[in-house]
Amino acid sequence: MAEFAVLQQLVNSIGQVLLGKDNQVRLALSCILADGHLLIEDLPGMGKTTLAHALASVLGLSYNRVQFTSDLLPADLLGVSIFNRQQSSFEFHHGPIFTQLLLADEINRTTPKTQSALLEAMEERQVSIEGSTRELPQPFFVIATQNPSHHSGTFPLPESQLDRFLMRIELGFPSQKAERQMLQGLDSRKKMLQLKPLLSLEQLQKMQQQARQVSVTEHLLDYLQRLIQFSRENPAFQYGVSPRGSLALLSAAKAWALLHDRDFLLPEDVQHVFPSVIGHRLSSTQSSQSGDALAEFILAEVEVLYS
Amino acid sequence: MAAVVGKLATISIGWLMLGYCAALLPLFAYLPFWMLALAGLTLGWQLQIYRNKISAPGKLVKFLLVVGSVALLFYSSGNLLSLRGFVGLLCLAFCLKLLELQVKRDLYLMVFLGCFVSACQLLFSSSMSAFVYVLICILIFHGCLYSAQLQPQHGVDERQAKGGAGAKFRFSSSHWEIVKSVLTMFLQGLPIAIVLFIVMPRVGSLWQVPINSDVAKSGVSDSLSVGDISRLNQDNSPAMRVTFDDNIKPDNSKLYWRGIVLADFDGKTWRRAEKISTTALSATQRSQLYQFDRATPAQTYSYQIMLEASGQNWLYALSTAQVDNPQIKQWQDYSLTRKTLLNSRFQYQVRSHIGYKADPEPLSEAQLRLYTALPSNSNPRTRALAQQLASQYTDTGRLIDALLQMFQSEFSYTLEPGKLTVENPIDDFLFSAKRGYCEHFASSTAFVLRAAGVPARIATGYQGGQWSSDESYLLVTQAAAHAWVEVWLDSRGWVRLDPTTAVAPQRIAQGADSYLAQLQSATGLSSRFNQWGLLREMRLRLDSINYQWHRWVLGYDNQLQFNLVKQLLGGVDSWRISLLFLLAGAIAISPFALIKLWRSRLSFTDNNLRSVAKLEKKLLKFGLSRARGETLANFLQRSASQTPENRQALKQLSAAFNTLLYDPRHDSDKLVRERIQHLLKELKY
Repeated sequence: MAEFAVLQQLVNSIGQVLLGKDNQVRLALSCILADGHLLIEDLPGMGKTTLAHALASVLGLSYNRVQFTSDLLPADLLGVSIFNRQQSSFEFHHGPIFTQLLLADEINRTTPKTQSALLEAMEERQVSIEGSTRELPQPFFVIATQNPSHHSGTFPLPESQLDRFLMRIELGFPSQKAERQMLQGLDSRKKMLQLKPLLSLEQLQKMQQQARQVSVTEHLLDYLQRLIQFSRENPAFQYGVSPRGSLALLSAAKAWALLHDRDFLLPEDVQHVFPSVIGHRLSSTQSSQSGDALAEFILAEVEVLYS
Repeated sequence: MAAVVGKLATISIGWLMLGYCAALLPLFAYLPFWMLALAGLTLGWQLQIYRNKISAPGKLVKFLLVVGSVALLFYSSGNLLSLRGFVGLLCLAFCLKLLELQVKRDLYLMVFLGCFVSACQLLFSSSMSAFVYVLICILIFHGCLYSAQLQPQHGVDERQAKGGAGAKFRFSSSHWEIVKSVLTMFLQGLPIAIVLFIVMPRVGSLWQVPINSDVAKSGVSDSLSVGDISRLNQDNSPAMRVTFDDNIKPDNSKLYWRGIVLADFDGKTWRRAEKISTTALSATQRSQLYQFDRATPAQTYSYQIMLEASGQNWLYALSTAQVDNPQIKQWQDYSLTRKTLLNSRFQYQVRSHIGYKADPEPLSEAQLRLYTALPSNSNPRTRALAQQLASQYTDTGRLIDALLQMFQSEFSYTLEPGKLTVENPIDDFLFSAKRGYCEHFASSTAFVLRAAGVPARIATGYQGGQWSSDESYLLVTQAAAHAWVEVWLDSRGWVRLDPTTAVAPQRIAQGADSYLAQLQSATGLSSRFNQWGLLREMRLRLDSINYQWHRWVLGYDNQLQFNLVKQLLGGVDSWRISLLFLLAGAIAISPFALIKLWRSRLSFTDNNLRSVAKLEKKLLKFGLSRARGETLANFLQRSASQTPENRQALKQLSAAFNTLLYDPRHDSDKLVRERIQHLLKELKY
């Protein structure tokens, strides 16, 4: 019960900075609880960075932000060894990636080379620099933001890299009411400073543990498998969801259940996180359809109860 | 890319061209030869157009092609208003339309045209193999249609393959996929087709295409001339097939299939006597037929004849026959005719009384004159012989015996008798040639009898037949054509007299086919008959299949339908018919229902899901059904807003089901289940 109260508090305090986006905030939180990386995709100025920043603040994690540009090199991200004249030896200078929460802003503006340097870090939670492997701090999250890929000057992330993000969420325009509130209220920069860490590291890790322990019945696994199988068999999709995708779906749904104070999984949980978890892993044979629309299509077509 | 959108997929074009060739191939046997070239030309042309080697023909070229080919068709077939003319026009349209194949609409048109062209084969041949072939053609066109439907996805697939993105395609519209789908659809439609075939009333044809007259090829013609054919051709095509009811079969020597009676002789040719063959059966004759029917049933045979199209209108039956069919007329000489010419197979039911001595009432003066009439100046030597015999034997029976004795000792049977002189053919036959086949013997016997003052006439038809391999029916071929004599004896009426038996008794005892085969191989005429036994067996097997096909599928007419329905239902009332329709519908749907049931049964192996199904069934009564992707809780919430009086129950049900289905600690909880049962009962309508 105590966890639920804390989680509710987390949602509320982020909600003070990012108005009227409770759903997205909850999705982002469940992504963190499921120990996954988050990709936020939207137009410039929609509050992507604000969300990432607020998450880092309330979770009490060490936080670095890297603005990805087309001339950013892997060394700028990972760190570099520099010769120390006094000690006559090379000394490693940690790059910004050595942090608990990395905000990779506009990730699709940088070259594939730098993108793939981040790739290893995201999956293995370690980096290899100059022949030696260095562990990253625990926990390690990447929250990346990107502009829609058709914007000019972007290098779209390849499928392999998209697959490593547990979720991709879109923020969307705020409602009229929320926007009015925002216009009338304080500067969000000042509000951000008021955010205090609400969670210790131990608490976060305990909650992640609890999320993994949310129980699942055969009925629900059947449904989940039907969803995944549909994406693999229906001719509307170029390729089906990977096993990593189905694992991601299960853990995200469990986190979502925990966030709603339940210790067992309902099909509604799966349906709720489904577009965010699966959307960026799908591609249509008819190129016009977006991933989210495809995910909705699967949800509408797949029978929930009977096989 | 935009230009490619309308372009047809290679796979559809391939299937279309396959169907195009398959549909046209058998028709070339009936079409002028240049159409084969035209079809090949358009096929090659379209292939080149598709490969972008040459451009599509312009309007002028197309116009010239159409006008030119129609003119050529008119020139080569002579008459466009015949069956072949019509089929030719259709095929022309089919061939030329191929040149215009550009977008999907053209493809659809080609497919529909192709189905028509395929079916046209059945105008020329209605055997089962032709039917199967047409079916295959039509299935190929369906494959084309199916591939065209898949086209959008297919186009993308191709683009992807070119891009080499390395993506795996879970779906490939390969040929096998198409074949499987088409066969599945075919099987799904089959029960409905069968039921419709059985119960749909047969509607007569709305229009008629003039049938070409070359089907009218028969071993039996309406006249018989002696000696103008030097060699008899052996035609093994079927003339008719006979099924005896109750499997009571007469032996081979009794199988005289009597067709027409020739009583008018002009010295060379025997013809039908108009007067006799257009006078209907008298009432006395008819009543005698029926009396006889009751008297000795052992001599009565009841059977069904399926006559091939002969282009003539007379029918065949064993000796004196009794027919109850409004289409059939019976004449004074007991011959049978149908009102219209036989341009297609005709099936009729007959009862025959073998050994029936007809017409005991004496011949009238006019009849006597007719049956003894001879042209005064012909065949003097034969007349002299007849006078001599008549003076020698006063008893007609003795006279006949003497004549047959003469045939037996001096004459021989052959299929190649050579030509006889034109002036006095019978003299030539009796005194110099002394070899011939049934026509020679029959007409000379009749001539001698008439010259001796005995009334005689010639009957033509078939003799014998071959039993099918399972002995279920008798096949009579054109080779079994035969002619014999009927002679009037004052004490017994008309009696059959077959002079050929005197010369070649085996011809009658064994039946024409085997006897003639022996005859030919003995004279070394043909060595192909060495394998006669095997060939004959195979031919009979094949014929047996085709016969059953004709009898039960093509010959399935209103009468047969009526009988079948009557037999099935024990009567033909409107309520029985509607019951049959219901039954038929049920039978047609039952495979689908069974499959559906089987599938739904599988999902209910789980107790929890069974109770969900129970709930859904109950809510269906409220007009509420769950969408496929809707969770149960969402559905129940939606239902609750629709039926406010059940809101509380539904809300509790929702919670109970969620724990039952999704909480592992309660998934076989008896309490929860009982609670659900209880709540289900509480739902009020």
